[in-house]
Parts: sequence; structure tokens; C-alpha cells
Amino acid sequence: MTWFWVLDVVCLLWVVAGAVLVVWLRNLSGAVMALSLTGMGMTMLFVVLGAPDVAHAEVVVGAIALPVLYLVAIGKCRTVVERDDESTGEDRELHGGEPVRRRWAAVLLSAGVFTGLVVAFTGLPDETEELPAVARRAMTGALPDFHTTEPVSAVVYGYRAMDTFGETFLLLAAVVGVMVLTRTREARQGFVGEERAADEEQEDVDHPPRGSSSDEARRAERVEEGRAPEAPETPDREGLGAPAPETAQAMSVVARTAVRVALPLLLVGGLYLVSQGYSPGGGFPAGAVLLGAVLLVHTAFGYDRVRAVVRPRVLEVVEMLGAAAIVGVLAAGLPLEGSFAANWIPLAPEQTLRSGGMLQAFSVSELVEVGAGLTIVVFSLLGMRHDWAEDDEDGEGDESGEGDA
Amino acid sequence: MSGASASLLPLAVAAPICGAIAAPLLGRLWTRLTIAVSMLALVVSCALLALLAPQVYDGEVLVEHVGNWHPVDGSQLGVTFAADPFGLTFALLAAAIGAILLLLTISELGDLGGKEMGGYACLFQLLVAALVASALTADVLDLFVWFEVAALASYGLTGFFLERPLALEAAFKTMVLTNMAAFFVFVAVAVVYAGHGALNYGQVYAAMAEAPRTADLVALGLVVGGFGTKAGLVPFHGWLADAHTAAPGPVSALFSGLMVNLGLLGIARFVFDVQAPNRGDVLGLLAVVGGFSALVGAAMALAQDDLKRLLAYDTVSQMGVLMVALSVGSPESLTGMTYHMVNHALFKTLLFVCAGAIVHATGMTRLSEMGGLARHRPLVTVAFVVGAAAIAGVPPLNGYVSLGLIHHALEGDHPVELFVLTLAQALTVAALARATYLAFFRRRDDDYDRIERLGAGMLVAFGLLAGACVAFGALPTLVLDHVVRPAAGSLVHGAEYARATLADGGRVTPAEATFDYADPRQALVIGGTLLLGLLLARWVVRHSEPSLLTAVRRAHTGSVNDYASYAVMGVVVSVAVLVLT
Amino acid sequence: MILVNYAAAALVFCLGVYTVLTRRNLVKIVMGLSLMESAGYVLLISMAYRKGSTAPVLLHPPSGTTEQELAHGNVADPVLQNIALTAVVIGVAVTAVLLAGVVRVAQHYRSLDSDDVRELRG
Repeated sequence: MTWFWVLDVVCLLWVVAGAVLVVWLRNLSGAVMALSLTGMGMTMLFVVLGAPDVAHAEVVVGAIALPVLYLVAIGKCRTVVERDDESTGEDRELHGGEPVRRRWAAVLLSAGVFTGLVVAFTGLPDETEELPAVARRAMTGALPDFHTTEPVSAVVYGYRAMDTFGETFLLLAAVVGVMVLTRTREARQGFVGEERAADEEQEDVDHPPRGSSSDEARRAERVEEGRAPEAPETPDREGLGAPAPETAQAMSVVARTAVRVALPLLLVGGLYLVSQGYSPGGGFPAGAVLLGAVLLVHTAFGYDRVRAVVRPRVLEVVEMLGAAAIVGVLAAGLPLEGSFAANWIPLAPEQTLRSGGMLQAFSVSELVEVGAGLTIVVFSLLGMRHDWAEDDEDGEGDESGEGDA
Repeated sequence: MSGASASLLPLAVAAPICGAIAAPLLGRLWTRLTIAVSMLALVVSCALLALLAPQVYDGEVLVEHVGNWHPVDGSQLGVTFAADPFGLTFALLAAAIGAILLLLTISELGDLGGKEMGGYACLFQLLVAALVASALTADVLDLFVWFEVAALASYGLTGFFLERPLALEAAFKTMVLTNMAAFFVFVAVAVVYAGHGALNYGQVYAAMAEAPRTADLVALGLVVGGFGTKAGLVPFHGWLADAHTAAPGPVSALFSGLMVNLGLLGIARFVFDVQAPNRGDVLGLLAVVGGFSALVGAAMALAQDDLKRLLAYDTVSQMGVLMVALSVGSPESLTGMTYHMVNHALFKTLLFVCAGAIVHATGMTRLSEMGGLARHRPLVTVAFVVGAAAIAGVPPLNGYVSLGLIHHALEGDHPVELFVLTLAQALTVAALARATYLAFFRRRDDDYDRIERLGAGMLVAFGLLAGACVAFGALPTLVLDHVVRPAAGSLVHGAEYARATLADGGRVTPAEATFDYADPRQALVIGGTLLLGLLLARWVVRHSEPSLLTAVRRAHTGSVNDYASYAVMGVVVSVAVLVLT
Repeated sequence: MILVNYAAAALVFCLGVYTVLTRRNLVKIVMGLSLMESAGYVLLISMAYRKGSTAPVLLHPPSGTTEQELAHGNVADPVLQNIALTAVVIGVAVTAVLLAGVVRVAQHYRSLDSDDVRELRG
């Protein structure tokens, strides 16, 4: 039994060390890597604690999805902000308030939160306690109620389907939120008062420094999007030790080959997770794995290779169809079985592809929705343009909405 | 029969969700069609809820164990939906006012691009669906999930106008503070489950009565912080004013009229229905928090130049009033609180619709720039005056009734709270009087270069909301006996409600309260606050800001770190108070 | 002994809170929120653990036990794992919304310092 605790403490130290690094590192990219480190530590911890499905999800999220998101966002900011790391220059100390006082207050408050949490946790039952009755019900009911050998899936998609229904639309709200925040400018008819208010507000905000830095930023953005003709396809021609940053669209032959090998494994792995409903997995981690596959191809091969798969309009439709399928699967329970989210699909024998009844249908629809949604999210973030703020040198954005005479 | 109707409850949530799924797809075709379909979805939801209303307002709690997974030996694994009078009132308000606001959107924002409109309609409906679901759920984890859905939908809606830098700043602050609040609630739910192995309200109630733990008090403190952020209580309110200032008109109305009530709902459910056996001195804590919110909100409202920001701080103040009423815990105060919740939804929505109309038509947001709108837009003026009078408590509008109930409940045993509320009321009246004067009645020298016409949808919205304000004020006994007293009963007799959610249904006794329209003391209080408020308004318009007010304003630094510090401080203090007393 | 896990989760949560309170860089603030979220997951899975338990999976029970025995035996808590599973994936989308907000703010304000993003105050 002590082996368990050794592993447990090692993983915990790993997680805490990663977290401390995230707070401490001033360089943003470094902090992102520290966050990824924390994620990997958590994955190992989940395996040790006996939660394989959660570990599946966390490894993709922590190692691929979150770092990519952060790095894309940092890259986008870099084109408009001169210094993006945490400069501690002395001149900053005079800016609005004394940082030292704020630091001590923050330490006290954090300590207060820690104390409160520890007080709560010491009052909780420890690991020798019996499983709660509801958990036991889930364990013993999974086979008779759903013919599935995966109680976690039975809870996620069956017993607490309403919860997962809510979570699905939580994801949808986030996806649509990202779509709204990253959208490109559209033509508007008529006068929209907010636009005039916007002009006044932008004047109050400090003017950006004009000059070559903005042009540099513009050029960098264009190269990033792969529109500049000078950007080579791959950096293989460049000699070793060429100065960074690389402007190529794809990565070196080493990275590309590695991804070529890893990609089919990942894809099969993801599909396996969702199709074998009677083993750990399900729609959520499978969707994350598919996203990971798409991101790997994008990173290693450049945007052109994924353009066929990642078409925003198509993906939106796919995602909405997935969501509609989920509503349909759950709502069909009402006329057929008398209750929303009741199981209306006849149960197949256990450990077959179709076992679980409604669980499988829900899980597959979930895969569609999660995979499409997360892909939309990452690529919307990538495709964000600069057409809502000033310095619109590319001429993008339609000004026809202005109503002034 | 009751079993068959209760199974419709999840459909009331599914209807706006279907609308939300359809919205982005329809947005590419025709923007107005998107809004029309969304409105239809909300009307369907409203109709489904109205179908169940007669039974529920009769005192019955309609319970649906979603998926037919029933409790076994007093433990419930599945999610339960329960329509009790309080929850149904909340859900009906959300669906109905949401539909009216969508009608408004057609006329006010109908000129937006297709993609934007699709996104807007989708997020709007998800928010309303989340509000309806939160009111109907009887499961702490499900409550948390729908709370998060509402939060995420609100982020996109706040930052909707991407060309306004203020909108994006406000959206970021909202995101950080509300997300932090969501984590607090998350930890609280985890602690409750780990301590008692229960997620269903009734099961948690029974478990806490049997085996109370200190951890529950910490969870309650976290809940007060988390839901208090949503409700806009001081010191968790940093995001609220910013978000309302920058969001589109109908969205601000939705936030102030309905979304802040979600915080109130969460706190009310925990304090009276779920955690009643083991809640420490939370009522005392809420009295202090509420009192502070009422005063700070009203004072800040008095000092604002931006109209929507002023109304947002008034929301903070009104939530404080509601919290003070909640903290008394007597049948009469809870009845007053429920009535005021309904009234606030109505008059605050009306005021925000007017403010949104002004911004959208003229592009102006500052009171110092406006003036003389009474001449150009008389209907907006009338609507605004009705809303302001309703807040001030002028009879025969609805504020008179709810404020009367609350004041009457505070008389005698709670003199301090009564004094604080009266003072806050005077400040509120002053703030609104100042706003009315500056925006509508002050003489303005230059003419406006451009004022857009108002659409038909906006006029219908005015009519419906103002009419409702009058109706709820002129027919108090009817509303009390048939709606508000049963609703308050869910809170007063929380044990009955909790028991019902674990069983297949149950009954809730209505709360006991009466309202005497011609009570002279009530008239005196209202008249006094009105007079004081008007005098104060006149004084403020003429003179410079008092230094106390400047100090309070300076505390609102606008930095997200500071607002987060205030919120965390609030949580730490709440937990400490609950655990140590 | 699982208290060690809980303490670590509380520590990571407080590191996240500290980041949000003190760090002025907007991206760092979002990272602080990510840390708070991660702490929540560690907390959940630690709460789900039972001494000497196996994962709550009935597939391929170890030799000598049937599925029924396993279901009634010593397993971790599937209800809490359910919450964590969905929350991990959704956390990605939520972080994306936050980061989209940060990028837009940066485009308008030309700064990632929260002290510069304070037009709405008072």
C-alpha cells in the first residue's frame, strides 16, 4: 500500500511545482510550458488515483489543447503589444498604487482562503469511508440498467444525463461566445448608436504609437496566416543554427515524420474511446483527442493541410447537428418512455458495440459536438483579425454601418 | 395527472435550447427570422410553464425525476426537477421577459449582420434556458452547471459590440470575476457531496439535519461568495456596473432584471431549502452584506454620469434590499422579498429598455450630454418616469406594495435594518430623480444631430412592462394570494419543499402575510423618502460631490486585481463569520 | 492520508487566487484561473479515491472476481469522476473565451497590463 502513497506524493509534488512555476515565471511562453507540466502531473495523478477516463481527457487537454490556445493568444497579442512579458521596470512601480502593499494583502487573502479550505477538508471523511449510497447505486446498477461495464459512462450519459445535457450547452455557449468575440466585421444596415459611442471611447483610450512597429506587426501577422509569398513551405532548406523565429509554414522533417506516425495512432485511439462504450472513454475525451489530432497536423504541416477539414461554416453546421442530435436523443425519451432522458433504445448484450442503449447514442453525438466545437474554438482564435480596432491598414472591415451624414 | 404534467418540465428548458441551436444557422439566412424563431421558442417555454402554473400555485410541488431514475431508500442518484411556486415564478419571469426583450431586439438591433445576430440569439436563449433550468432544478450539481451556462453566455453578450473598447474591458472583468465565483461554488458543491454523499436538495437537507459538519459552513460561505458575485452584492459587485454599461440595451436589461436574480435564487435555495438545518449565522451575515450593498449601490448611483451605469448601481442597491429582506427570515419579509424580486425584474427591465433606446437612437451614454429628450421622445420619457416612480414606491405602482411589505416586516425587531433601508431608498430616489431631470427635462441648447426613430417592438415592450408595473401595484391582494404568498411558502417552509424533491411530489403551505394599502405609516415612509430624495437630487445637481462619496468612488479603481481582491476578501470574511460564530 | 491530496489541491487553488490578485499581465491572470480549475479537478478525483480501490470499471475483472463482486467491492467513486470528466474538456472552451477576450482587449488598448485597462472606474 505504501507504493501508492509514494506515487501519489510524487505526482502531487510535480503538480505543485508546476503551479509554482506558472506563478513565478515572468516569461509568458515559459509559464505556458509550466502549465502544461502541471497538466501532465495531473494526468499521472489521475491514473494513480484510479480515474482512467479523466486521465485520457486531461492528457490531451493539458499537453495539446491548452498550450496551443495560450500560445496562439500570446502570438496574437504580440502583434499589437510591444512588451508582453511581465516587465517589472521601476517606472511601473509608480503606476497607480503600491505593488508591495498589494502583494502583502494578496498573501494574507490567499492564506485566508487556504485556511478556510483546509478547515473544510479536514472535516471531510477520509479514504477509508464507505462509498456513498448514490455511488454504490451507480456501480451496481450499470449492468442491469444499461448492460454496460462502464459505470462512469452510465452516470455521465444515463443516470445524470440532465447534468451532461447542461454541460453540453455550456460547451456550446463557450463555442458561440468565442465565435462572437472573434468574428470578422460585417456590414450593418442603418444607424447603430453604439458605433458612435465606440469612436468616442476609442479616443479616450491612449493612441497607439504609429510607425514601423505597427508595420512589423502587420507583416508578422500576414506571414502567420501564410499569405506572404516569401514564407517557405518547410524550414528544411535552412541550415542548422539559422536565426529564429522561423517563418516557414510547416516544421522540420523530423517533426513532420513524427506526426505522420503519431497521427493514425491518435485518430484510432480517439475513435476507439468513443466506440467501445463499455470501456473507459466516451464522447468527451474522444472529442478532445480528435482536436489534438487536428492541432498536431496544423502545427507540423501548416494551415494549408488542415484547411479542407477546418472550414468554419461547415464545422458550425456539424456542431449544431451534434447538439440537435443530443436534444433529440434525450427528448425521444419523453414520448417513448414517459420521461425526458429516459432510456428508450433497447439494450444489447454487454461488451458489444451497441450495449448501453441510449448511452452510446448520446456519447457519439457528444463526440461530434465536442470535436467540432473545440476545433471551431481553436481555429477561430487563430483566425482573429484586427478589424475592430484602429489601424485598419488592410482595409478590412466594412464601414458602411456609419450613419453620419 | 400530476406525474404527466411534471414530465414537461425538462421541455421548458429544451425549447429555448433548440432555438439556440437553430439561431446561428438561421442567422445566415435572415436576421429577423432568427429573432422571430427565438421568440417563438421562449413563448413555447412560457406556455409550458403556464400550463403547470395553476397546479403549482395551488401549493403543489410537481416533481420529475429526469430519466425515470427514482430515489432508492432516500438516496437519489439522478437529477430531479421540481416546480415549486418560487421556482416557477422565477422561470415564468425569465421566459416572459426574455420574450419581450427579444421582441425589442428585432426593432432595436435588427440591423445587425447575419452572423452576429445568430450568435446573439444563440447566447441570449442559452442564458434564458439556464435561468429557467436553475429555477426548476432540485440538485446542487445541476444548479452549478446551469449557473455556469448563464455565466458563459453572459460573457459573449457583454462584449458583443467589438468596436467598443469599454465593452471588451467590461467583458474581461466579468469573465475573471464570474469565473472565480463559479470556482467557489464548484468547491462548495464538491464539499457538500464529499461530506454527505448527496446531491439532491431533499437528500442534502436530510443528511445535514442528521450529521452536520463544519465543512458545510465553509461551503455555505463559498456559496454566499459565488452566488453573491452573480447577484452583485458588495463586495462582489465589481463586474456588474461595467458589464451593464457596455452591453447592448436588451442584454443589460436581461442582466439586471433576471440574471442577478439567479444569485438571489442560489442563496435563497441554500439558506432556506437545502442547508437550513446547518447554516450557522448566515442570516446575520446576509443582513450586513445586504445593508452595505443597499447603501453603497445607492450612493454610487447618485454619483454616476453614465445612465446605464447609474441603473446598474441601482441594481446593486436593490439586491441589497432583497438580501436584507431575506435575512430577516420571517414569513412577511420573505413575502416582501419575493414580491420585490418580481417587481424589480419588471421596473428594472423597463428602465434599461429606455436607456438602451436612448443609446441606440442617439449614440449618447452620458447624462451630462443628454437633455431635453422629453420633447423629442415623449414615450420614452413616460416609460422612464413610470419605472423611476415604481422604484421610488409611488402608489399605485408596484414598488409601493413590495417596499411596504418589507418595511412592515422590519418594524419593531430590526430598527437598524429599517433605518439603513430607508436611507438607501432616499439615495435611490435622489439618483433616479437626478437622472430623469438631466436626461429628459433639462433644457439643452444644441439640437441633437441625429435621433433614430423607435421601432414598434420597443413601444410594445414599453407598454407591456409599464402595464405590468401598474397591474402589480394596483392589485396587491390578488397577486399576493395567488402568486407571491405560495412562492414565499417554498422558502418559509423549506423543509416541506425539500421533502417533496426526494419524494414524488408534495405540498407547500403558503406564507402568511397581508398588505394594507392605506396604512398611514407606510404612506409616511414613502412620502418622507420621496421628499428627502428629491431635495437631495436638487442639492447634488447644484453642488459638487461630497468627499465621502468621492472616497467610495475611488475604491472602485477599475482594476481587475482590486475587484478580485474585494471578492476574495468577502469570501474569506463570510467563511470566517460562519465558522467562528 | 488523503488529506495530503486535499492540501495540495488547496495550495494550487490559492496559488491561482494569488496570481489573479497580484499579477497585472492579463494572460497571467487567465493562467491563474486555469490553476484554480486544475485544483478543482485534483480535489474531485482525490475525493473519489477510496483506500485500496480500483478504478470503477467492470470490464475484465481481475481473475477470481465476478463483475457483481467488483460492483459491490472497493472501487473509486464514479459520480465524482463523472463531474471531472466533463469539466476537464469544457475547461478548454472556457479558457478559449477568456483568451479571446484578452486578445480583443489588447487590440484596443495596446497593452496587456491591467493597470492600463481601467477606463471603466468609479
